[in-house]
Amino acid sequence: MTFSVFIALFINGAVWGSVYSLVAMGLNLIYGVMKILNIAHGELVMIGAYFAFWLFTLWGINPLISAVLVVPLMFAMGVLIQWLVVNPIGRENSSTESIERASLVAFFGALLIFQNIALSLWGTEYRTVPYLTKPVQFSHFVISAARLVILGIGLVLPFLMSAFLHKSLTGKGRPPHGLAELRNRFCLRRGRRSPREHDVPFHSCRGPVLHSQSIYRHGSGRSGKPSGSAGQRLGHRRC
Amino acid sequence: MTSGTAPKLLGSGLIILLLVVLPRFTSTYIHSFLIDLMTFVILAQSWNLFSGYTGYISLGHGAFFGVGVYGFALSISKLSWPPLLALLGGGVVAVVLAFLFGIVFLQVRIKIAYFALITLSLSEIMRAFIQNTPGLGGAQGTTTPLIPTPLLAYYYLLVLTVLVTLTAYLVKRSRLGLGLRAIRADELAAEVSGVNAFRHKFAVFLVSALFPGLVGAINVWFWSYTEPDQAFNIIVSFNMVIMTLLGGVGTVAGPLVGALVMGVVSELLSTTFPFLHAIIFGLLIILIVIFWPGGVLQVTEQLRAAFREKGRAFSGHATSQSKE
Repeated sequence: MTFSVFIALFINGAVWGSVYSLVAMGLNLIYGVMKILNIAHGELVMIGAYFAFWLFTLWGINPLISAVLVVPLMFAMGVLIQWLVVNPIGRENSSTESIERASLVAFFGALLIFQNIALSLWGTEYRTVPYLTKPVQFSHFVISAARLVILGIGLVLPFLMSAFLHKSLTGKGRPPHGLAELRNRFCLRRGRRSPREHDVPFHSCRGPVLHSQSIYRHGSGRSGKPSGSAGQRLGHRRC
Repeated sequence: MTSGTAPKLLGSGLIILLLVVLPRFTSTYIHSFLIDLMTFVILAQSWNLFSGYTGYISLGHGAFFGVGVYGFALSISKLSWPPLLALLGGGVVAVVLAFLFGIVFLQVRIKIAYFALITLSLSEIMRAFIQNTPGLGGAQGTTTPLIPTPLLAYYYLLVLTVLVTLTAYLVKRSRLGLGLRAIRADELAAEVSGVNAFRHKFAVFLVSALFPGLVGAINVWFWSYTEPDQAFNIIVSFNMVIMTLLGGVGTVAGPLVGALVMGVVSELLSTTFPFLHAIIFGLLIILIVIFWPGGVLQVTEQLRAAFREKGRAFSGHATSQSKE
Protein backbone atom coordinates (compact mmCIF):
# COMPACT_ATOMS: atom_id res chain seq x y z
CA MET A 1 0.00 0.00 0.00
CA THR A 2 1.50 3.23 -1.10
CA PHE A 3 1.51 6.28 1.09
CA SER A 4 -1.04 8.16 -1.04
CA VAL A 5 -3.51 5.26 -0.87
CA PHE A 6 -3.07 5.15 2.87
CA ILE A 7 -3.78 8.88 3.16
CA ALA A 8 -6.85 8.63 0.94
CA LEU A 9 -8.22 5.72 2.96
CA PHE A 10 -7.46 7.56 6.16
CA ILE A 11 -9.35 10.66 5.03
CA ASN A 12 -12.32 8.61 3.83
CA GLY A 13 -12.38 6.76 7.13
CA ALA A 14 -12.32 10.06 8.97
CA VAL A 15 -15.24 11.33 6.89
CA TRP A 16 -17.35 8.30 7.78
CA GLY A 17 -16.18 8.49 11.35
CA SER A 18 -17.26 12.11 11.63
CA VAL A 19 -20.72 11.23 10.33
CA TYR A 20 -21.02 8.33 12.77
CA SER A 21 -19.84 10.52 15.60
CA LEU A 22 -22.72 12.91 14.95
CA VAL A 23 -25.17 10.01 15.04
CA ALA A 24 -23.58 8.66 18.19
CA MET A 25 -23.72 12.07 19.89
CA GLY A 26 -27.49 12.10 19.49
CA LEU A 27 -27.80 8.57 20.78
CA ASN A 28 -25.58 9.39 23.71
CA LEU A 29 -27.80 12.29 24.70
CA ILE A 30 -30.97 10.27 24.71
CA TYR A 31 -29.48 7.15 26.27
CA GLY A 32 -26.81 8.72 28.44
CA VAL A 33 -28.94 11.44 29.94
CA MET A 34 -32.45 10.07 29.77
CA LYS A 35 -31.82 6.29 29.75
CA ILE A 36 -34.24 6.06 26.84
CA LEU A 37 -32.99 3.28 24.61
CA ASN A 38 -33.83 4.62 21.17
CA ILE A 39 -33.01 1.75 18.82
CA ALA A 40 -34.89 3.60 16.08
CA HIS A 41 -32.16 6.26 16.07
CA GLY A 42 -30.74 5.01 12.80
CA GLU A 43 -34.19 5.31 11.24
CA LEU A 44 -34.25 9.00 12.20
CA VAL A 45 -30.91 9.38 10.42
CA MET A 46 -32.45 7.71 7.38
CA ILE A 47 -35.47 10.03 7.45
CA GLY A 48 -33.23 13.09 7.77
CA ALA A 49 -31.31 11.82 4.75
CA TYR A 50 -34.51 11.43 2.74
CA PHE A 51 -35.66 14.95 3.62
CA ALA A 52 -32.41 16.32 2.23
CA PHE A 53 -32.60 14.05 -0.81
CA TRP A 54 -36.11 15.14 -1.76
CA LEU A 55 -35.41 18.82 -1.10
CA PHE A 56 -32.47 18.51 -3.47
CA THR A 57 -34.18 16.38 -6.13
CA LEU A 58 -37.54 18.16 -6.27
CA TRP A 59 -36.57 21.78 -5.73
CA GLY A 60 -32.83 21.71 -6.23
CA ILE A 61 -32.17 23.05 -2.76
CA ASN A 62 -28.49 23.13 -1.90
CA PRO A 63 -27.70 20.40 0.68
CA LEU A 64 -25.85 22.94 2.79
CA ILE A 65 -29.04 25.00 3.06
CA SER A 66 -31.26 21.96 3.58
CA ALA A 67 -28.99 20.98 6.48
CA VAL A 68 -30.35 24.07 8.19
CA LEU A 69 -33.91 23.24 7.10
CA VAL A 70 -33.78 19.60 8.14
CA VAL A 71 -32.61 20.30 11.69
CA PRO A 72 -35.85 21.98 12.86
CA LEU A 73 -37.88 19.34 11.00
CA MET A 74 -36.10 16.54 12.83
CA PHE A 75 -36.36 18.52 16.07
CA ALA A 76 -40.12 18.67 15.59
CA MET A 77 -40.11 14.93 14.98
CA GLY A 78 -38.14 14.41 18.18
CA VAL A 79 -40.73 16.44 20.12
CA LEU A 80 -43.53 14.40 18.56
CA ILE A 81 -41.86 11.14 19.52
CA GLN A 82 -41.33 12.55 22.99
CA TRP A 83 -45.03 13.25 23.41
CA LEU A 84 -46.33 10.07 21.83
CA VAL A 85 -43.85 7.49 23.11
CA VAL A 86 -41.39 8.70 25.73
CA ASN A 87 -43.70 10.66 28.03
CA PRO A 88 -46.20 7.80 28.45
CA ILE A 89 -43.32 5.40 29.19
CA GLY A 90 -41.91 7.77 31.80
CA ARG A 91 -45.36 7.99 33.36
CA GLU A 92 -45.85 4.22 33.58
CA ASN A 93 -42.41 3.15 34.79
CA SER A 94 -40.45 4.18 37.83
CA SER A 95 -37.09 2.40 37.88
CA THR A 96 -34.24 3.03 35.43
CA GLU A 97 -34.28 -0.62 34.43
CA SER A 98 -37.96 -0.76 33.57
CA ILE A 99 -37.66 2.50 31.60
CA GLU A 100 -34.80 0.96 29.64
CA ARG A 101 -36.72 -2.22 28.97
CA ALA A 102 -39.96 -0.48 28.01
CA SER A 103 -38.23 2.06 25.77
CA LEU A 104 -36.18 -0.63 24.03
CA VAL A 105 -39.35 -2.46 23.12
CA ALA A 106 -41.37 0.64 22.22
CA PHE A 107 -38.64 2.01 19.97
CA PHE A 108 -38.35 -1.41 18.40
CA GLY A 109 -41.96 -0.83 17.35
CA ALA A 110 -41.05 2.66 16.13
CA LEU A 111 -38.19 1.14 14.12
CA LEU A 112 -40.60 -1.21 12.37
CA ILE A 113 -42.95 1.68 11.59
CA PHE A 114 -40.31 4.07 10.23
CA GLN A 115 -38.48 1.42 8.24
CA ASN A 116 -41.56 0.00 6.57
CA ILE A 117 -43.11 3.38 5.82
CA ALA A 118 -39.87 4.38 4.13
CA LEU A 119 -39.74 1.06 2.27
CA SER A 120 -43.30 1.34 1.00
CA LEU A 121 -42.88 5.00 -0.01
CA TRP A 122 -39.42 4.99 -1.49
CA GLY A 123 -38.38 1.40 -2.18
CA THR A 124 -35.00 -0.15 -1.58
CA GLU A 125 -32.73 1.41 -4.21
CA TYR A 126 -29.79 3.63 -3.32
CA ARG A 127 -30.25 7.37 -3.78
CA THR A 128 -27.49 9.88 -4.23
CA VAL A 129 -27.25 13.64 -3.97
CA PRO A 130 -24.85 14.66 -6.74
CA TYR A 131 -23.55 17.81 -5.15
CA LEU A 132 -19.97 19.10 -4.91
CA THR A 133 -18.68 15.93 -6.54
CA LYS A 134 -15.82 17.87 -8.12
CA PRO A 135 -12.55 16.25 -7.00
CA VAL A 136 -10.07 18.36 -5.13
CA GLN A 137 -6.45 17.57 -5.88
CA PHE A 138 -3.96 17.64 -3.04
CA SER A 139 -0.30 16.84 -3.44
CA HIS A 140 -0.69 13.09 -2.89
CA PHE A 141 -4.36 12.27 -3.18
CA VAL A 142 -7.75 13.26 -4.58
CA ILE A 143 -10.93 13.77 -2.52
CA SER A 144 -14.36 15.05 -3.51
CA ALA A 145 -15.25 18.50 -2.23
CA ALA A 146 -18.44 17.21 -0.57
CA ARG A 147 -16.39 14.93 1.67
CA LEU A 148 -14.18 17.77 2.75
CA VAL A 149 -17.25 19.78 3.74
CA ILE A 150 -18.63 16.79 5.65
CA LEU A 151 -15.37 16.37 7.48
CA GLY A 152 -15.30 20.05 8.38
CA ILE A 153 -18.84 20.02 9.76
CA GLY A 154 -18.22 16.73 11.55
CA LEU A 155 -15.22 18.24 13.28
CA VAL A 156 -16.96 21.48 14.31
CA LEU A 157 -20.33 20.17 15.57
CA PRO A 158 -18.96 18.11 18.50
CA PHE A 159 -17.32 21.24 19.89
CA LEU A 160 -20.58 23.17 19.57
CA MET A 161 -22.37 20.33 21.35
CA SER A 162 -19.80 20.26 24.09
CA ALA A 163 -20.12 24.03 24.52
CA PHE A 164 -23.90 23.65 24.67
CA LEU A 165 -23.70 20.98 27.37
CA HIS A 166 -21.17 22.79 29.52
CA LYS A 167 -22.02 26.45 29.06
CA SER A 168 -25.74 26.79 28.40
CA LEU A 169 -28.33 26.70 31.19
CA THR A 170 -30.16 23.70 29.73
CA GLY A 171 -26.95 21.77 29.37
CA LYS A 172 -25.77 22.62 32.85
CA GLY A 173 -29.11 21.57 34.31
CA ARG A 174 -28.38 18.04 33.14
CA PRO A 175 -27.87 15.87 36.20
CA PRO A 176 -24.42 14.27 36.36
CA HIS A 177 -25.63 10.67 36.56
CA GLY A 178 -28.45 10.96 34.09
CA LEU A 179 -31.99 12.07 34.58
CA ALA A 180 -33.32 8.61 35.30
CA GLU A 181 -30.86 8.22 38.16
CA LEU A 182 -31.96 11.58 39.53
CA ARG A 183 -35.54 10.43 39.45
CA ASN A 184 -34.58 7.23 41.19
CA ARG A 185 -32.84 9.08 43.96
CA PHE A 186 -35.68 11.43 44.62
CA CYS A 187 -38.36 8.86 43.82
CA LEU A 188 -39.91 11.27 41.40
CA ARG A 189 -42.67 10.14 39.14
CA ARG A 190 -44.11 12.72 36.90
CA GLY A 191 -47.88 12.89 36.62
CA ARG A 192 -48.35 10.78 39.75
CA ARG A 193 -51.09 11.95 41.98
CA SER A 194 -50.54 9.87 45.11
CA PRO A 195 -46.98 9.42 46.31
CA ARG A 196 -45.79 6.00 47.39
CA GLU A 197 -44.99 5.59 51.06
CA HIS A 198 -41.25 5.98 50.59
CA ASP A 199 -41.64 8.88 48.19
CA VAL A 200 -40.75 12.39 48.95
CA PRO A 201 -44.10 14.13 49.55
CA PHE A 202 -45.40 15.21 46.22
CA HIS A 203 -45.59 18.94 46.86
CA SER A 204 -41.94 19.01 47.83
CA CYS A 205 -41.09 17.41 44.51
CA ARG A 206 -42.72 20.15 42.57
CA GLY A 207 -39.55 22.04 41.68
CA PRO A 208 -37.58 19.03 40.42
CA VAL A 209 -40.67 17.69 38.64
CA LEU A 210 -41.02 20.75 36.48
CA HIS A 211 -37.29 20.79 36.01
CA SER A 212 -37.21 17.19 34.83
CA GLN A 213 -40.01 17.79 32.38
CA SER A 214 -38.18 20.60 30.71
CA ILE A 215 -35.02 18.52 30.46
CA TYR A 216 -36.95 15.65 28.95
CA ARG A 217 -38.27 17.86 26.22
CA HIS A 218 -34.90 19.38 25.47
CA GLY A 219 -33.17 16.01 25.61
CA SER A 220 -35.30 14.44 22.97
CA GLY A 221 -35.18 17.46 20.71
CA ARG A 222 -31.46 17.62 20.98
CA SER A 223 -31.01 13.99 20.09
CA GLY A 224 -33.15 14.53 17.01
CA LYS A 225 -31.03 17.46 15.94
CA PRO A 226 -27.64 15.86 15.35
CA SER A 227 -29.17 12.79 13.76
CA GLY A 228 -31.09 15.01 11.38
CA SER A 229 -28.02 16.86 10.26
CA ALA A 230 -25.91 13.71 10.13
CA GLY A 231 -28.48 11.93 8.02
CA GLN A 232 -28.74 14.95 5.85
CA ARG A 233 -25.04 14.71 5.24
CA LEU A 234 -25.07 11.00 4.46
CA GLY A 235 -26.97 11.91 1.34
CA HIS A 236 -28.29 8.42 0.71
CA ARG A 237 -30.35 5.88 2.49
CA ARG A 238 -28.66 3.48 4.86
CA CYS A 239 -30.53 0.53 6.23
CA MET B 1 -53.99 -31.30 40.72
CA THR B 2 -55.61 -27.90 41.18
CA SER B 3 -59.11 -27.12 40.02
CA GLY B 4 -58.04 -25.11 36.95
CA THR B 5 -55.80 -27.85 35.55
CA ALA B 6 -58.37 -30.40 34.39
CA PRO B 7 -60.20 -28.21 31.82
CA LYS B 8 -56.87 -26.86 30.58
CA LEU B 9 -55.55 -30.39 30.15
CA LEU B 10 -58.71 -31.49 28.38
CA GLY B 11 -58.67 -28.45 26.09
CA SER B 12 -55.04 -28.88 25.07
CA GLY B 13 -55.62 -32.61 24.54
CA LEU B 14 -58.50 -31.87 22.19
CA ILE B 15 -56.47 -29.29 20.25
CA ILE B 16 -53.56 -31.71 19.86
CA LEU B 17 -55.93 -34.47 18.72
CA LEU B 18 -57.47 -32.10 16.18
CA LEU B 19 -54.02 -31.15 14.87
CA VAL B 20 -53.04 -34.82 14.59
CA VAL B 21 -56.01 -35.79 12.44
CA LEU B 22 -56.37 -32.48 10.55
CA PRO B 23 -53.88 -33.18 7.71
CA ARG B 24 -56.08 -36.05 6.52
CA PHE B 25 -58.84 -33.64 5.53
CA THR B 26 -57.08 -30.47 4.38
CA SER B 27 -55.09 -29.19 1.43
CA THR B 28 -51.33 -28.78 1.17
CA TYR B 29 -51.81 -25.02 1.47
CA ILE B 30 -53.26 -25.49 4.94
CA HIS B 31 -50.37 -27.85 5.77
CA SER B 32 -47.72 -25.31 4.91
CA PHE B 33 -49.66 -22.58 6.72
CA LEU B 34 -49.83 -24.76 9.84
CA ILE B 35 -46.13 -25.56 9.51
CA ASP B 36 -45.38 -21.83 9.50
CA LEU B 37 -47.73 -21.27 12.40
CA MET B 38 -46.16 -23.99 14.55
CA THR B 39 -42.71 -22.66 13.69
CA PHE B 40 -43.88 -19.28 14.97
CA VAL B 41 -45.28 -20.81 18.15
CA ILE B 42 -42.09 -22.69 18.97
CA LEU B 43 -39.86 -19.69 18.22
CA ALA B 44 -42.00 -17.32 20.28
CA GLN B 45 -42.25 -19.77 23.14
CA SER B 46 -38.51 -20.33 23.30
CA TRP B 47 -37.80 -16.58 23.15
CA ASN B 48 -40.23 -16.15 25.99
CA LEU B 49 -38.49 -18.91 27.96
CA PHE B 50 -35.34 -16.84 28.23
CA SER B 51 -36.16 -13.19 27.53
CA GLY B 52 -39.72 -13.22 28.81
CA TYR B 53 -38.89 -14.90 32.09
CA THR B 54 -35.58 -13.17 32.86
CA GLY B 55 -36.21 -9.75 31.32
CA TYR B 56 -32.98 -9.84 29.30
CA ILE B 57 -34.25 -8.89 25.86
CA SER B 58 -32.47 -10.88 23.15
CA LEU B 59 -32.68 -9.40 19.67
CA GLY B 60 -30.68 -12.17 18.07
CA HIS B 61 -32.33 -15.43 19.06
CA GLY B 62 -32.68 -16.10 15.34
CA ALA B 63 -28.97 -17.00 15.43
CA PHE B 64 -29.91 -20.32 17.04
CA PHE B 65 -32.53 -20.91 14.37
CA GLY B 66 -29.95 -20.24 11.66
CA VAL B 67 -27.33 -22.42 13.30
CA GLY B 68 -29.88 -25.22 13.48
CA VAL B 69 -30.61 -24.74 9.79
CA TYR B 70 -26.94 -25.05 8.94
CA GLY B 71 -26.31 -27.87 11.40
CA PHE B 72 -28.94 -29.96 9.66
CA ALA B 73 -28.11 -28.93 6.10
CA LEU B 74 -24.39 -29.56 6.40
CA SER B 75 -24.57 -32.80 8.35
CA ILE B 76 -27.07 -34.30 5.92
CA SER B 77 -25.43 -33.08 2.70
CA LYS B 78 -21.71 -33.06 3.54
CA LEU B 79 -21.54 -35.84 6.17
CA SER B 80 -24.57 -37.75 4.78
CA TRP B 81 -26.01 -38.47 8.21
CA PRO B 82 -29.50 -40.00 8.47
CA PRO B 83 -32.20 -37.28 8.74
CA LEU B 84 -33.18 -37.93 12.36
CA LEU B 85 -29.57 -37.75 13.52
CA ALA B 86 -29.07 -34.59 11.46
CA LEU B 87 -32.12 -33.02 13.12
CA LEU B 88 -30.60 -33.70 16.52
CA GLY B 89 -27.33 -32.33 15.16
CA GLY B 90 -29.09 -29.04 14.37
CA GLY B 91 -30.33 -28.83 17.95
CA VAL B 92 -26.97 -29.74 19.43
CA VAL B 93 -25.10 -27.12 17.37
CA ALA B 94 -27.54 -24.46 18.61
CA VAL B 95 -27.01 -25.54 22.21
CA VAL B 96 -23.24 -25.47 21.75
CA LEU B 97 -23.41 -21.92 20.42
CA ALA B 98 -25.65 -20.94 23.33
CA PHE B 99 -23.18 -22.57 25.71
CA LEU B 100 -20.24 -20.60 24.33
CA PHE B 101 -22.23 -17.37 24.27
CA GLY B 102 -23.87 -17.82 27.64
CA ILE B 103 -20.78 -18.82 29.55
CA VAL B 104 -19.24 -15.46 28.62
CA PHE B 105 -22.16 -13.04 28.62
CA LEU B 106 -24.43 -14.43 31.33
CA GLN B 107 -21.72 -14.48 33.99
CA VAL B 108 -22.05 -10.79 34.68
CA ARG B 109 -25.06 -8.60 35.33
CA ILE B 110 -24.85 -7.07 31.90
CA LYS B 111 -27.04 -4.06 31.11
CA ILE B 112 -30.24 -4.71 29.21
CA ALA B 113 -29.21 -2.38 26.40
CA TYR B 114 -25.87 -4.06 25.91
CA PHE B 115 -27.32 -7.54 26.06
CA ALA B 116 -29.78 -6.64 23.30
CA LEU B 117 -26.95 -5.26 21.15
CA ILE B 118 -24.64 -8.22 21.75
CA THR B 119 -27.30 -10.76 20.81
CA LEU B 120 -28.18 -8.72 17.74
CA SER B 121 -24.55 -8.82 16.67
CA LEU B 122 -24.33 -12.56 17.41
CA SER B 123 -26.84 -13.23 14.66
CA GLU B 124 -25.03 -10.92 12.22
CA ILE B 125 -21.63 -12.41 13.07
CA MET B 126 -22.86 -15.93 12.37
CA ARG B 127 -24.29 -14.80 9.03
CA ALA B 128 -21.07 -13.06 7.98
CA PHE B 129 -19.02 -16.04 9.14
CA ILE B 130 -20.94 -18.56 7.06
CA GLN B 131 -21.13 -16.21 4.09
CA ASN B 132 -17.34 -15.99 4.00
CA THR B 133 -16.52 -19.64 4.66
CA PRO B 134 -16.62 -21.61 1.39
CA GLY B 135 -16.40 -24.91 3.30
CA LEU B 136 -19.80 -24.22 4.88
CA GLY B 137 -21.46 -23.35 1.58
CA GLY B 138 -20.45 -19.69 1.48
CA ALA B 139 -22.83 -17.07 0.13
CA GLN B 140 -24.37 -19.51 -2.37
CA GLY B 141 -25.81 -21.68 0.37
CA THR B 142 -26.42 -25.42 0.33
CA THR B 143 -29.13 -27.81 -0.74
CA THR B 144 -30.53 -30.68 1.28
CA PRO B 145 -32.20 -33.88 0.05
CA LEU B 146 -35.94 -33.48 -0.49
CA ILE B 147 -38.20 -34.34 2.46
CA PRO B 148 -40.21 -37.53 1.70
CA THR B 149 -43.49 -35.79 2.53
CA PRO B 150 -44.29 -32.36 4.06
CA LEU B 151 -46.40 -34.20 6.61
CA LEU B 152 -43.19 -35.45 8.22
CA ALA B 153 -42.18 -31.85 8.99
CA TYR B 154 -45.72 -31.20 10.18
CA TYR B 155 -45.69 -34.01 12.72
CA TYR B 156 -42.17 -33.27 13.94
CA LEU B 157 -43.18 -29.67 14.50
CA LEU B 158 -46.35 -30.73 16.28
CA VAL B 159 -44.30 -32.83 18.70
CA LEU B 160 -41.93 -29.92 19.27
CA THR B 161 -44.82 -27.50 19.82
CA VAL B 162 -46.23 -29.75 22.52
CA LEU B 163 -42.78 -30.22 24.05
CA VAL B 164 -41.91 -26.52 24.15
CA THR B 165 -45.28 -25.57 25.62
CA LEU B 166 -44.92 -28.26 28.25
CA THR B 167 -41.40 -27.07 29.03
CA ALA B 168 -42.57 -23.48 29.39
CA TYR B 169 -45.37 -24.63 31.68
CA LEU B 170 -43.09 -26.75 33.85
CA VAL B 171 -40.37 -24.09 34.02
CA LYS B 172 -42.89 -21.47 35.02
CA ARG B 173 -44.30 -23.62 37.83
CA SER B 174 -40.97 -24.89 39.09
CA ARG B 175 -38.44 -23.49 41.54
CA LEU B 176 -36.38 -22.50 38.48
CA GLY B 177 -39.23 -20.33 37.22
CA LEU B 178 -39.56 -18.69 40.61
CA GLY B 179 -35.85 -17.89 40.56
CA LEU B 180 -36.14 -16.47 37.05
CA ARG B 181 -39.01 -14.22 38.08
CA ALA B 182 -36.92 -13.01 41.01
CA ILE B 183 -34.08 -12.22 38.60
CA ARG B 184 -36.46 -10.32 36.35
CA ALA B 185 -37.76 -8.25 39.23
CA ASP B 186 -34.33 -7.43 40.67
CA GLU B 187 -31.27 -9.51 39.93
CA LEU B 188 -29.15 -8.18 42.76
CA ALA B 189 -31.90 -8.76 45.31
CA ALA B 190 -32.42 -12.27 43.91
CA GLU B 191 -28.73 -13.08 44.27
CA VAL B 192 -28.67 -11.75 47.80
CA SER B 193 -31.60 -14.00 48.71
CA GLY B 194 -29.72 -17.05 47.49
CA VAL B 195 -30.72 -17.44 43.85
CA ASN B 196 -27.72 -18.47 41.75
CA ALA B 197 -28.51 -16.04 38.95
CA PHE B 198 -25.91 -17.36 36.50
CA ARG B 199 -26.98 -20.97 36.83
CA HIS B 200 -30.67 -20.07 36.43
CA LYS B 201 -30.11 -17.87 33.38
CA PHE B 202 -27.66 -20.30 31.81
CA ALA B 203 -29.93 -23.33 32.14
CA VAL B 204 -32.93 -21.61 30.64
CA PHE B 205 -30.77 -20.01 27.92
CA LEU B 206 -29.58 -23.43 26.75
CA VAL B 207 -33.15 -24.73 26.63
CA SER B 208 -34.31 -21.62 24.78
CA ALA B 209 -31.59 -22.21 22.15
CA LEU B 210 -32.33 -25.92 21.70
CA PHE B 211 -35.85 -25.47 20.33
CA PRO B 212 -35.05 -22.83 17.68
CA GLY B 213 -32.17 -25.06 16.57
CA LEU B 214 -34.49 -28.04 16.11
CA VAL B 215 -37.12 -25.91 14.38
CA GLY B 216 -34.49 -24.52 12.02
CA ALA B 217 -33.40 -28.05 11.17
CA ILE B 218 -36.96 -29.17 10.41
CA ASN B 219 -37.65 -26.05 8.38
CA VAL B 220 -34.62 -26.43 6.15
CA TRP B 221 -35.59 -30.03 5.51
CA PHE B 222 -38.93 -28.69 4.34
CA TRP B 223 -37.32 -25.88 2.24
CA SER B 224 -34.63 -28.26 0.85
CA TYR B 225 -32.38 -25.25 0.22
CA THR B 226 -30.79 -22.55 2.33
CA GLU B 227 -28.45 -19.58 2.16
CA PRO B 228 -27.02 -17.37 4.92
CA ASP B 229 -29.40 -14.45 4.26
CA GLN B 230 -32.38 -16.75 4.64
CA ALA B 231 -31.15 -18.75 7.63
CA PHE B 232 -29.93 -15.75 9.62
CA ASN B 233 -32.65 -13.37 8.53
CA ILE B 234 -33.00 -10.71 11.22
CA ILE B 235 -36.77 -10.88 10.70
CA VAL B 236 -36.79 -14.26 12.47
CA SER B 237 -35.28 -12.72 15.59
CA PHE B 238 -37.61 -9.73 15.41
CA ASN B 239 -40.70 -11.88 14.90
CA MET B 240 -39.95 -13.79 18.08
CA VAL B 241 -40.00 -10.52 20.03
CA ILE B 242 -43.10 -9.18 18.32
CA MET B 243 -45.16 -12.34 18.81
CA THR B 244 -44.32 -12.72 22.48
CA LEU B 245 -45.03 -9.06 23.24
CA LEU B 246 -48.29 -9.29 21.35
CA GLY B 247 -49.48 -12.28 23.32
CA GLY B 248 -48.09 -11.49 26.74
CA VAL B 249 -44.54 -11.62 28.08
CA GLY B 250 -43.66 -14.13 30.78
CA THR B 251 -46.76 -16.29 30.39
CA VAL B 252 -47.21 -19.74 28.84
CA ALA B 253 -50.27 -18.93 26.72
CA GLY B 254 -48.97 -15.52 25.58
CA PRO B 255 -46.53 -16.70 22.89
CA LEU B 256 -49.16 -19.16 21.61
CA VAL B 257 -51.73 -16.39 21.21
CA GLY B 258 -49.17 -13.96 19.79
CA ALA B 259 -47.93 -16.47 17.23
CA LEU B 260 -51.49 -17.21 16.16
CA VAL B 261 -52.28 -13.51 15.70
CA MET B 262 -49.02 -12.90 13.88
CA GLY B 263 -49.39 -15.96 11.65
CA VAL B 264 -52.93 -15.15 10.59
CA VAL B 265 -52.38 -11.40 10.11
CA SER B 266 -49.19 -11.76 8.12
CA GLU B 267 -50.75 -14.54 6.01
CA LEU B 268 -53.66 -12.24 5.17
CA LEU B 269 -51.70 -9.02 4.60
CA SER B 270 -48.16 -9.90 3.56
CA THR B 271 -49.00 -10.79 -0.04
CA THR B 272 -51.29 -7.86 -0.79
CA PHE B 273 -49.67 -5.14 1.36
CA PRO B 274 -46.06 -6.23 1.98
CA PHE B 275 -45.12 -3.42 4.37
CA LEU B 276 -48.46 -2.68 5.97
CA HIS B 277 -48.45 -5.60 8.38
CA ALA B 278 -45.04 -4.61 9.75
CA ILE B 279 -46.29 -1.06 10.31
CA ILE B 280 -49.37 -2.41 12.09
CA PHE B 281 -47.21 -4.60 14.32
CA GLY B 282 -44.97 -1.63 15.11
CA LEU B 283 -47.97 0.42 16.21
CA LEU B 284 -49.35 -2.49 18.22
CA ILE B 285 -46.04 -2.91 20.03
CA ILE B 286 -45.91 0.74 21.06
CA LEU B 287 -49.52 0.64 22.24
CA ILE B 288 -48.89 -2.57 24.15
CA VAL B 289 -45.80 -1.24 25.92
CA ILE B 290 -47.61 1.91 26.98
CA PHE B 291 -51.09 0.67 27.81
CA TRP B 292 -51.13 -3.11 28.16
CA PRO B 293 -47.70 -4.47 29.12
CA GLY B 294 -49.37 -7.88 29.47
CA GLY B 295 -50.30 -8.13 25.80
CA VAL B 296 -53.45 -9.67 24.36
CA LEU B 297 -53.87 -11.89 27.43
CA GLN B 298 -54.09 -8.84 29.67
CA VAL B 299 -56.67 -7.23 27.40
CA THR B 300 -58.89 -10.33 27.41
CA GLU B 301 -58.44 -10.63 31.17
CA GLN B 302 -59.53 -7.02 31.64
CA LEU B 303 -62.49 -7.49 29.31
CA ARG B 304 -63.55 -10.62 31.15
CA ALA B 305 -63.26 -8.84 34.50
CA ALA B 306 -65.30 -5.94 33.14
CA PHE B 307 -68.03 -8.28 31.91
CA ARG B 308 -68.10 -10.13 35.22
CA GLU B 309 -68.43 -6.81 37.03
CA LYS B 310 -71.24 -5.78 34.74
CA GLY B 311 -73.02 -9.10 35.16
CA ARG B 312 -72.75 -8.89 38.93
CA ALA B 313 -74.09 -5.35 38.96
CA PHE B 314 -76.93 -6.44 36.74
CA SER B 315 -77.90 -9.48 38.81
CA GLY B 316 -77.51 -7.47 42.02
CA HIS B 317 -79.92 -4.94 40.63
CA ALA B 318 -82.39 -7.69 39.70
CA THR B 319 -82.34 -9.28 43.17
CA SER B 320 -82.82 -5.98 44.93
CA GLN B 321 -85.81 -5.33 42.70
CA SER B 322 -87.32 -8.73 43.42
CA LYS B 323 -86.98 -8.07 47.16
CA GLU B 324 -89.13 -5.04 46.78
